[in-house]
Amino acid sequence: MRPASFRHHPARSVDEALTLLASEDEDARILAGGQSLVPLMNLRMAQPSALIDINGCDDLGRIDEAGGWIEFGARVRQREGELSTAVRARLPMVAAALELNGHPATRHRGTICGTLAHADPSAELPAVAVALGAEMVLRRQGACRIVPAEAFFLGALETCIEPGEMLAAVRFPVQPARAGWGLAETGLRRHDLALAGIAVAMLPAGVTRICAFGITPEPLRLPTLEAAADDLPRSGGTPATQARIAEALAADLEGADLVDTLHASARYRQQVTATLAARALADARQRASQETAT
Amino acid sequence: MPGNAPFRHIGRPMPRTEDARLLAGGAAFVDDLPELPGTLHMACMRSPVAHGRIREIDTSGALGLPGVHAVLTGAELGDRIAPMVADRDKAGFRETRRDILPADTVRFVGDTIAVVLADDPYVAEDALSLIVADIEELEPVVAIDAALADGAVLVHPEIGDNIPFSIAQTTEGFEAAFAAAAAVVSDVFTSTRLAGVAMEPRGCVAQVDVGLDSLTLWSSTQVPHLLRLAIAELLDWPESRLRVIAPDVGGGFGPKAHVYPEEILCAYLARRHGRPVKWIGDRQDDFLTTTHARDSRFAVEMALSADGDILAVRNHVDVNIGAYACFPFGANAEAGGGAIYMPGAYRFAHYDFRARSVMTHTAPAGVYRGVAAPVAHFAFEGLLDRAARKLGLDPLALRRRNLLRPDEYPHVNAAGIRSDGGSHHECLERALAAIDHDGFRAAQPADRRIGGRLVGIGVACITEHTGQGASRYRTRGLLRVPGMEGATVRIESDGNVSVAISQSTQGQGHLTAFAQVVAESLGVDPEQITVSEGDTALSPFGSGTFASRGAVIAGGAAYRASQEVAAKIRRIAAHHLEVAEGDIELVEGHARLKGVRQMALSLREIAGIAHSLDPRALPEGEEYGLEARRFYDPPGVVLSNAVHAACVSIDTDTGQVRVERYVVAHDCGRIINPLIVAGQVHGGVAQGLGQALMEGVHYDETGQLLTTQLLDYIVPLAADVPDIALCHVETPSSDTLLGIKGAGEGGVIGAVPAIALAVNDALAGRGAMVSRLPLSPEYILSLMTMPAPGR
Repeated sequence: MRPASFRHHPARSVDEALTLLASEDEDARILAGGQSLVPLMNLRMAQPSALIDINGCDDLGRIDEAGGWIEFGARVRQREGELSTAVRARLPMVAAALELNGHPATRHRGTICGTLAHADPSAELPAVAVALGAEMVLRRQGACRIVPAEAFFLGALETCIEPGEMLAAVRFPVQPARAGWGLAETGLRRHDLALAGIAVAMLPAGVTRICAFGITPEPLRLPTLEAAADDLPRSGGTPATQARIAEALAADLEGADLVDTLHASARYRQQVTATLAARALADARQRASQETAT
Repeated sequence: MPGNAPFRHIGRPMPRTEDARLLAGGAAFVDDLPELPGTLHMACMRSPVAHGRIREIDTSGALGLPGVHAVLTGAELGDRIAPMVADRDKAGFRETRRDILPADTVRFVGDTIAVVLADDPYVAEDALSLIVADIEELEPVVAIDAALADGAVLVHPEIGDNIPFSIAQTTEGFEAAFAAAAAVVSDVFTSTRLAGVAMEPRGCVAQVDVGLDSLTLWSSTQVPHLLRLAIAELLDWPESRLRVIAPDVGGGFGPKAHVYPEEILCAYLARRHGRPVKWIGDRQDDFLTTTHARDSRFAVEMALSADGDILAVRNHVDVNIGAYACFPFGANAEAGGGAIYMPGAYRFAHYDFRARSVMTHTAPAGVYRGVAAPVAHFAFEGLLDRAARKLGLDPLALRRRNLLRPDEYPHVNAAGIRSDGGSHHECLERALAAIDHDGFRAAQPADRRIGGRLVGIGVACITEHTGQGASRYRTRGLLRVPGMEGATVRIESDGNVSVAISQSTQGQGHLTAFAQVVAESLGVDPEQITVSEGDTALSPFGSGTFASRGAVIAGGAAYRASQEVAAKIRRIAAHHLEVAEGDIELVEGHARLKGVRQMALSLREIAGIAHSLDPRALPEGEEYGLEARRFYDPPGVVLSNAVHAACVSIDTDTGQVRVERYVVAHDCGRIINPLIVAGQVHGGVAQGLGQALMEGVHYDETGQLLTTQLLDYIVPLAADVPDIALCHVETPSSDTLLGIKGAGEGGVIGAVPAIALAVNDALAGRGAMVSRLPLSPEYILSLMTMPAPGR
């Protein structure tokens, strides 16, 4: 439970952080809240050569809203996002996902970009980012690229961030007034890592995006279920609806690398994902209709 | 509390005096002690394989790392440390040994194969990765069945099989009674292995005075005296030069009642290198090496009359105890307990049991809060549910019919355990009323379904074996557990009171409870009494804190010692007040003529007299000082009892069980402090809920531990534990001093069956019943979707 030795570089701005990152070898990592990275270092499962500490980078600590997007800098704490009135009003699923992320104590320290860059299969926010069509702002010294969330996650604890690059910000498209959303998960305990979960984003134009988490190494879009979603009857709970959801899910999971652990088999995860999808879809529909009414 | 009418301090809900210090961060756990100059930090290299033969361990790389002082392997150690031998060959037992640092054979992933001493703990850990161990991997046995199979690989070949302990007993006439039954129900109940998960992992610091060749060892232990005894034995070091101190200990729960190789190694290395040696385990060390428990299987049959009288019970218990028999409890604690604890609150005359401890290439398993009782009661109560269904009887009516009544006590049960009393019916009715059983039943639909959830209620009646004295440990064949406890009570020259107890505290509120006992004898405020524990140099010899023995035995010792001091105070006061001793009462810090405030001496004055700091002399023939040291050894065992009632709901989509309401009616005899008893029950219920619903240590088939972190080993959090309503029922024991019974384990013992029974009830519409722990969402969902088993 003691990390191997590493170099520690405090940075005071994003430019300084990028310079430090460029000067270090490819095993350097960004330290923000440290709620996932530090435990891995204590277990020596992660042995970064250097940590570029961005906790002093005030220019990464902002939540900005402009041009139909809300952007979170790399040092924005999960708790700040969760409690932001702009986020609660215009990205309610992000606020809901953050409430499910860890505990208040870890959320005060952990960052929004941190949970995305860590890419834990059971984390809520990566799936929500995919469902909402978020974009990742990846910067290196002298360069910047924008990657859609769907292309960002490559596997368990694996993203497309390259050596010398950092996730400087994430931006989410502000949700239109008549959008619906649903987020459902199940774990072993009341506030626990998800064994399975579903994020549903339902846009007014009849576009539904659904992403599962906890069941595959990376967040998984469910195109068959998305296509079927519009045809499903509004009452979510009937056996017939349930069967159609399970059928669509089975098609989407065909050949998928399902997570199978001590705590829940792949079979169990698939089984509950179907019922979670029904719940999340019903919630999304209900919210969409409420938004229409007001 | 009418039973407490004669008491002023015993029975009072006094807030715990230790809490302000503990809650404000004022406690000092081993790792918090100021680092001694020259300290060397020890790190342990654990065997990476479950079973193997050590060919060579190359330590040269580690030795070359700057800051590394020494690296020690078993080969280099030779026979300088004697092996730990917990059991001797005798009926039922086979002797096995545990090398402190194995030189040849490793027997579980976590066996220590080398230790590093370095200037700081980071370097020590770095050095571990530079040690190259060449180990010939051998086939391991991991599970009970594999270890019992013909031709199984043997963990300790010298005993000829993997069964170091085995016991069987049958009451006379058992077979006839069984054959006469109208109905027989049976099932196999299994429990997944658990870890105790104390908040503070184990750790120790050893310091040697080189000139005196004396040792002080600070350790996070529940058994300082037994640890000292082990060091003396294994290192051939006179006990008179050994001092063991358990400072503040962050939770024990049983696993810390064992002696561990790291403690012996720190003591040895401090003596060898003449410098302090410190080892602080981390969570991974804890899961790998601290004793596990509850890896057990109960195959049970119950024979009943048509009316529902329990006629006979057969109980075959197999317990996986891992690679070594633990010191001091040996190989039999869980298996023997599984047999003996089963006849609890219920009446039955015929009992056939066979209990075996089975060795495997896994971490040693030993005592953990409740020992085998939670699973024994899970099995027994589970059979009662099956019997009720088979006979078409109401499960509560079946229980009422078979629960022992007060007029049947004293009672000797079918396992031969005598008990002086039990308030099972009263506890049952109190618990049913408190949880509104009838209201719940009235609102519960026949198919148990409310919305998307199935709801159920479970009521379990349990007993708890507490306060076991010397005779009980001798009967059980334990050589290194003395059974008694000791206390020294001393009035200092200023009239304040110091008490030293042979136990150690891990957060149970000992310092408050024992102060209340002593205050009762001496007529002073508990706040004037300073209780210390955990230091072998300050306290009399004793057994330690485990098996719900603190209140009964250490409480009894404190009472006896304080009564002796009180008698001396009365003699001195009677002499100077010129009245009869029998007319002196001790109240409000004074010894006075009964009811006469003016005829009094303060405790301070009496202390001054006793310490020759007062113009008045001691009565002739009276020894200086005001001090007594007394031991207490209660007869046999005293049974506490409780009824736990739980309401649960199950999510029909996910199988997740939520405990909605929880009630305990608890009887631990005379209560010293109801707040402390409530705390014990609350904590126990939380741990029992963990075992019932989620906890589990898992090895893969090669013996690799899969649950090495709190990410993998799931314990309940505050949000998972419901409010717990507690009814105190107080039936003082006639067998123990002050009528005290123990209260440390009933919470966990009752919670496991109560939650399981509530789940059975919620599943009643589906015909399924649970038979294995934990009741994970996946297991419950499989019971809901698969056809019910025939029984």
